[in-house]
Amino acid sequence: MKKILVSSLLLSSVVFAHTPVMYCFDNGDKTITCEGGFSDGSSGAGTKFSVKQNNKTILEGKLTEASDFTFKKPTGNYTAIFDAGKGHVVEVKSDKIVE
Amino acid sequence: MLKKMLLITLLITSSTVFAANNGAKKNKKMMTNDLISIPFPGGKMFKSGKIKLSDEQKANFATNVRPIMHEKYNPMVQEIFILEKSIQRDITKKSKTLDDKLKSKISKITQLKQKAAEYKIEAVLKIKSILTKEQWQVWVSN
Repeated sequence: MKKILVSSLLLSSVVFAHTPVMYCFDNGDKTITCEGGFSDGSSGAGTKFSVKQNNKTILEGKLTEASDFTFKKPTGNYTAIFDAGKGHVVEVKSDKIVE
Repeated sequence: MLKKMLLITLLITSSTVFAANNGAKKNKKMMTNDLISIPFPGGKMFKSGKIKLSDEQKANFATNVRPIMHEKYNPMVQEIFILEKSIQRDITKKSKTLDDKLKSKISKITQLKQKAAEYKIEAVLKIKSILTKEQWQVWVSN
């Protein structure tokens, strides 16, 4: 049983067919939209998405069917996170998010 | 009769388009290309059972391949993706001429894509050294 678990964990670590990507932009109406997915064009719909500020999660959800997430722009610095599992996490800091 | 034929044609066409889109399920907006095309079928080879790895090979992948792809290549692709999106947004919303800012972003992408291609080749060569000759043949033929 242990062997199966170890083998499964090792196998999962060699799964790297596509690269997670995310882009966020300021809509100019005090909202931010992030689009996430994979570099081979695979959809990011349903993938975990969160926003952190001062190491605290201030928002959590999942990407929509259109692979995006729109949220109210937080005051101050924050980080948008696309989490598709271990080794497939993308973070975009607020200073990289422009109109 | 003509109306009926037109309706059937429309139904067939729309369902074919739907099937094609549904089958592909690819979002072109999210695609990022490598500088050069490098064969990399990835984890599906193992998931599907086309290549069965020994425990030692799995451990080798985890130690020698995963860090290159997850820790070096992936963050680079994200950086390239952001730059590409930024250029696309500049062109559609702000830019009127091919200014230095745009040129600099293109240069940066070129540099990053070169480095990313080097990482990917490094990973593929590691994979080649881990797999048996037979496994490698399966890898390259997919």
